[in-house]
Amino acid sequence: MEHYSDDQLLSMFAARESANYAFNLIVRKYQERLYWHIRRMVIDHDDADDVLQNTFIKAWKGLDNFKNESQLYTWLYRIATNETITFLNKKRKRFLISFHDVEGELTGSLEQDHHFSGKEIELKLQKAILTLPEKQRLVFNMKYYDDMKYEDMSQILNTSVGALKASYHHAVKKIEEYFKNH
Amino acid sequence: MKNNKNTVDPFENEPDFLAQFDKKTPFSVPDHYFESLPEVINDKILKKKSLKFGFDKMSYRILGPSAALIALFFVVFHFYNTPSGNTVQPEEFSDALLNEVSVELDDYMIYDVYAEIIEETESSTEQTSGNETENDEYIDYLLENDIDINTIIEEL
Repeated sequence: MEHYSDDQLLSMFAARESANYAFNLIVRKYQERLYWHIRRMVIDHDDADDVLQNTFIKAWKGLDNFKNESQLYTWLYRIATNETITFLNKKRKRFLISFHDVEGELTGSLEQDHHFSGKEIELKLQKAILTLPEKQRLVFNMKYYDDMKYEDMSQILNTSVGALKASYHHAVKKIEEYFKNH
Repeated sequence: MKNNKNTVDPFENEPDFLAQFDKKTPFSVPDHYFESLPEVINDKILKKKSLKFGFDKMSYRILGPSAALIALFFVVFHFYNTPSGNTVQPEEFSDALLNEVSVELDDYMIYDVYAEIIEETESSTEQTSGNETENDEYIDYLLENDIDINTIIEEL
C-alpha cells in the first residue's frame, strides 16, 4: 500500500471518482490506532469493533464538510472518543448501572476476556486504570499508550493543556495508590 | 547560566512508577481482523449509500406526489364534512325547536327532521325491513299536504 499524506488523501477524497479508494486508504491508515484507543476504553473486542465501525461511518458522512482547521487524525480521534463515550453511556442506561459501576462491569469483562494477552501485572494495571473516572481514563490512555501530545489531546477532548497535564498527573497518582493497596 | 532544571515541566516527564510496565496494550484481536475491516466498513458504507440513494429517488418520484395526493384527499374530505355556516343540521334544528329559538328553515329541512324522528322512534320499537318504505310514505304525505312548521311542533 502506498503511503499518502493526510492532505493527499483528502484531495483524493474530494475528487468524486476516487472518494471510495481514498476513504479505504484512510481506514487502513488509522484503523489500528483508533481501534486500540476505543478498545482500551470499552475493553471488549466486539464492542470496540462496533464503535470503530460507527466511527468510520460517521467520518465518511462528515468528511465532505471536514475543514483543514484541524488535523485529520485529531478529527478522527475526536469522533472515536465521542462514539466511545456515547457507547458507555448507552451501556449504563441499558443495564441500569450507575456511573461508577460500569467500570466494575468492565473489570469483569477484562478478567473473562479471551483476547487479553498480557501478564498478571498488566492485568492489574488495566484494573487500576478502570478505577479512574472516564475522562481521566481517556487522558491517561492517550498520553501513556498513544504517547500523544497534550496539544493534540486538547483539540480532541476540548480541554486546556494545563487541565490535561493535571489530570494525567492525578491519574498516575491514583494508579500508584491502587498498586500500594492491592 | 540559566538552570534548565527549573524550566522542565514536571508533568512532561514519564513518572518512574510507570517504568515497570510494558507499554504495549495487553489485548489481542481475532486473526486477520485488521485485514478484513476496511472491506466490512466499505460494504456498510455502500449499503447506506444505496439506501440513501433509493430513498432520495423514492422521495422525489413517489413520496412527493403521494404526499400531495394525501394532502388533497384531506382537503376534499374536510370540505365535504364541514357544515357550512348557512346549513342547519337536523340535530341543531331539534335543539332549536326544544329551546324555542326562531330559525329560518326551508320545507325540505322540516321533512328531513320529521323523517329522522320517525325513523328513530320506529327503530327503537320494531326492527322491520319495511321502515324505509314507510318513511317515504310519511314524507310523501307531508309533502302532499303541505304541512308547515307549526303543525310539526304540535305533533312533537
